[in-house]
Amino acid sequence: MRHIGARLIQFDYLHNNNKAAQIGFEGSPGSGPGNCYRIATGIVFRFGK
Amino acid sequence: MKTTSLLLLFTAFFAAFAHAQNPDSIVVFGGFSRLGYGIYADYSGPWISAPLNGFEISGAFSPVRHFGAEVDFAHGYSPSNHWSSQTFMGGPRFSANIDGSAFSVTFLLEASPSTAPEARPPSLWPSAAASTPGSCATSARA
Repeated sequence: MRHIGARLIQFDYLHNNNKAAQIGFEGSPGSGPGNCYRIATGIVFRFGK
Repeated sequence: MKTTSLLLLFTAFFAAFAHAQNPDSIVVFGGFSRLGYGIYADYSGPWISAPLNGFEISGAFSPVRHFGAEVDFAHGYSPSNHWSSQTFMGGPRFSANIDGSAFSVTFLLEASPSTAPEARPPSLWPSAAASTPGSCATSARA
């Protein structure tokens, strides 16, 4: 059985442990670990019985 | 030996039964994503919002009811400073249907958060390698 629906809101909390990574996880250039948030919305396909 | 065979047979039967009763054994998602991101000017500030807009796709497989695994890919781009970000993540997933609405919580480990340091102004280049493979990030979603 297949269903098509909408995911109204998806909330992601991203925590970065990498001191070298930069973009998307912290605000100050040159710093390291940090947190950021991401939201998403879209279409969902479900398959199952 | 006989006990082991019976145990394996019972486990296979139970797994097949659980799969047959699972209404969401495979879930595929695709859509728009927005990654919140702020830039703090060196030493003085203030914070400047520079979110990255893009897309996100994910696929989840639940061999048994409520429990499964999920992989996720997202790409974002900030037109204000031409930064981009890609995330590749995967991990265990717990899901439930409540009154027709599906909820899930996923713990994802990221293999390699990527950046585009060459697209940044030189003054913002990091002192260390920005896209070091093997770095780790976690994500919980609801």
